Amino acid sequence: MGSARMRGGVSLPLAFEGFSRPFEALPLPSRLTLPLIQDEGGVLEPRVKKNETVRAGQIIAENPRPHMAALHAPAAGKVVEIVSSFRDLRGRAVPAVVIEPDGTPAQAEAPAADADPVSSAAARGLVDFDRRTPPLAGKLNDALGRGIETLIVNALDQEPFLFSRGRLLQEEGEAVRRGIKSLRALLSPGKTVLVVESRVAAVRDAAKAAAGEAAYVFPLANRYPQAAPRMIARAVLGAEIPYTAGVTVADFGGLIVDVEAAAALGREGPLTERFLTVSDGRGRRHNVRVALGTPIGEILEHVGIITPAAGGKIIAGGPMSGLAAADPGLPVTKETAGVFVQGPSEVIRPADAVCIKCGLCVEKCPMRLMPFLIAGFSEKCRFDDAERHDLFACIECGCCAYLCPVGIPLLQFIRFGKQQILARRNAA
Amino acid sequence: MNDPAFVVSAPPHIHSGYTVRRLMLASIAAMLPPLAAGFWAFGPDALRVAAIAVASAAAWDLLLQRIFGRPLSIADGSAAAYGLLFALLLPASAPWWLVCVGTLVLLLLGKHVYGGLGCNPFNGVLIAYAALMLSYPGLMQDVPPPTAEDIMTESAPLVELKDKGPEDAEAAFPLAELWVGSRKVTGAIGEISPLAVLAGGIFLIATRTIPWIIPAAFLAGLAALSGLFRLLDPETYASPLFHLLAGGAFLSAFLIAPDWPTSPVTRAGRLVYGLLAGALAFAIRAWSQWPEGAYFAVFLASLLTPLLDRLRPAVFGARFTRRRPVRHRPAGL
Repeated sequence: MGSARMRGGVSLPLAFEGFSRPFEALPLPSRLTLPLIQDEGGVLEPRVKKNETVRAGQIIAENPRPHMAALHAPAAGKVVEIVSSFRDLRGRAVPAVVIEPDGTPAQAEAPAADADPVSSAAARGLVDFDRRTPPLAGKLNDALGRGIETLIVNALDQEPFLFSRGRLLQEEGEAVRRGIKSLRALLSPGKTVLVVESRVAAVRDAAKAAAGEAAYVFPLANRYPQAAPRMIARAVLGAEIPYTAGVTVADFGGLIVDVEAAAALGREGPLTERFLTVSDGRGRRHNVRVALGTPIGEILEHVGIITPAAGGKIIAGGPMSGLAAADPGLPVTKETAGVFVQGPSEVIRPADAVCIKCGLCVEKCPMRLMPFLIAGFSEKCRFDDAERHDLFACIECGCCAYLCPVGIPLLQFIRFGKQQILARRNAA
Repeated sequence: MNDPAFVVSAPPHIHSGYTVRRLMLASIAAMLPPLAAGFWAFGPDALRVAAIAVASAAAWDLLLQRIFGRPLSIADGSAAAYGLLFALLLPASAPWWLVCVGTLVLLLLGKHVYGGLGCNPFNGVLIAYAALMLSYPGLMQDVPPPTAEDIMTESAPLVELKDKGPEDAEAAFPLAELWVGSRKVTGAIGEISPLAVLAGGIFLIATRTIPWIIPAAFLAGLAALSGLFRLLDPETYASPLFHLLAGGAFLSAFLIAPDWPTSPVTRAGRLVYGLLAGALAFAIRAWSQWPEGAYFAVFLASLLTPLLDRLRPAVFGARFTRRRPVRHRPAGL
């Protein structure tokens, strides 16, 4: 087993106490808004009508293609509206189902016994909770077709500001254990590893208990962006996965599934909730268990973090890689990795200034790119040059912009370059 | 439903807090030990030159920003940092107008004509140094007599080396005196004590203001080439330690060569840059008419920076050949 530690990246402060905060179950809001889109999967077709009464866990939308992920009603209630054009977190206009919960307690539905594990993952709406959330069924199907040597269950949180994966190991260890068991039964990997934060004893112990005999515990210090799939693969498999279209960790005999997906697999029933860390820049942090469709603003209210004043920021995800939300009414979706709130004084302003070529971004880029160069080319619309310098190898961790002494929004320029190139290619 | 009150922008949403201002303040802090050594050796004149350099650099910067229509950025501390660095290359006897001419060249030709900090292809401090060395060689080398009573020499170590050869120079300047600084040794304000420069340099490396590899490579390049020639011909060439400790080798290695805009950004590029500058420093000292070649050597090496930046690391995964995919049929199905 290789253990090539990540090179580059940044050391962010890790607040260990975040791992000891129990998940608070959030009460259901008066309205649940469920955008009918699966990131990496496209728009879903509704399976309910307006004014229809739905059971908790009933499928409300599906993708007709195979190996996708269905969407379920998080609670029993009435479909009060089907919005045709809802602006989601990424600014896409998508249809959305709005449900008013009626308080009917959820009834255990008999699981479809005959279904094979892959179609059952699709029917249960399971996804892998990476920065993109690919349907789990697609990943499993692909892994089955190729065969895998190493199953990697990733319990490292995406950023050191999020604690939900580490906490989940402690509270839902049994579900994780069952999830790993069924993954192993399905894929029969030669080896299974459970990657965990090495610096927190409680998390390591929980990982050992959850792994049991089935998996090796692989402790890693979570230097950002260690939790990114390529960095995990490098650490565990000792292989650097190149940025070439179509090359994935599967080509190196691996499959990476995050621990929340494994836990969801290990539980019965459909995926209707997420485990999140909600925090602000002033040291308040809470772990919550929240139904999909709950407005972010209501979570903040519940945990007692004040929704910021004008000029503040609400971030879905962590502060390094999350997406800024325009509206506290935006709902939690399968994509939401956490919530981070900034007051007006904490919001950083990018500088309109020139690179001084200090080289910090080059030094710390975990993909060994020249961020200042590709960002500069993208800024000046020299897209061919940007691509020649491996623009598309960027994993968008944001270390460059975090470190830049000038305050250049390097990642924003890099993303702009990628979007422009893809848009031109699609137009051609 | 969109509430325009919230800020929406691309990630990352936090910053390290590591700013240009902090880089410049760290540089200024690192220059205080060599300045203090200069004060100890030359008295208040050293502080006079430093004060004039900093004040005039700031004034020129403000004026030039106005003239070129740029936003005023005096608060980033760059004018002060570069002004102070320039002062360290001057003799304590430099007249006030010479300092002011130098800082004008520094900010005009080393910064503003190219578009401001970061756009300059050459280190402004070295442009100013070269301009004054060519225009006022007498004043630039008119080293004041040391303040101590026990004057043994009025010459700088490298001038002594050029004029009298290694044996006399090494006898006149024991290494310990060169290392710590001595009132008998003369030279530019910042050249007096390599030890003081090293203290500042270690501070810069520890605070990640500069990469360690440039100063290390510079000193290694200088030591390697001077060592080689010392071995070949000890009569003609001074020892590597003499070369390291005399003149501006440490000053160049720790404070001038790592200048951000004009030094390479990649590890390999920085290594070659440092080695090259160090080797050139020896070459100029040994075989040109100039006694001190370290500053010109850095200047020459920085001309190659755009080329050296092409020594970039292999992108993640680029070196890896794909392992043959596993195609066994899982037993679980």
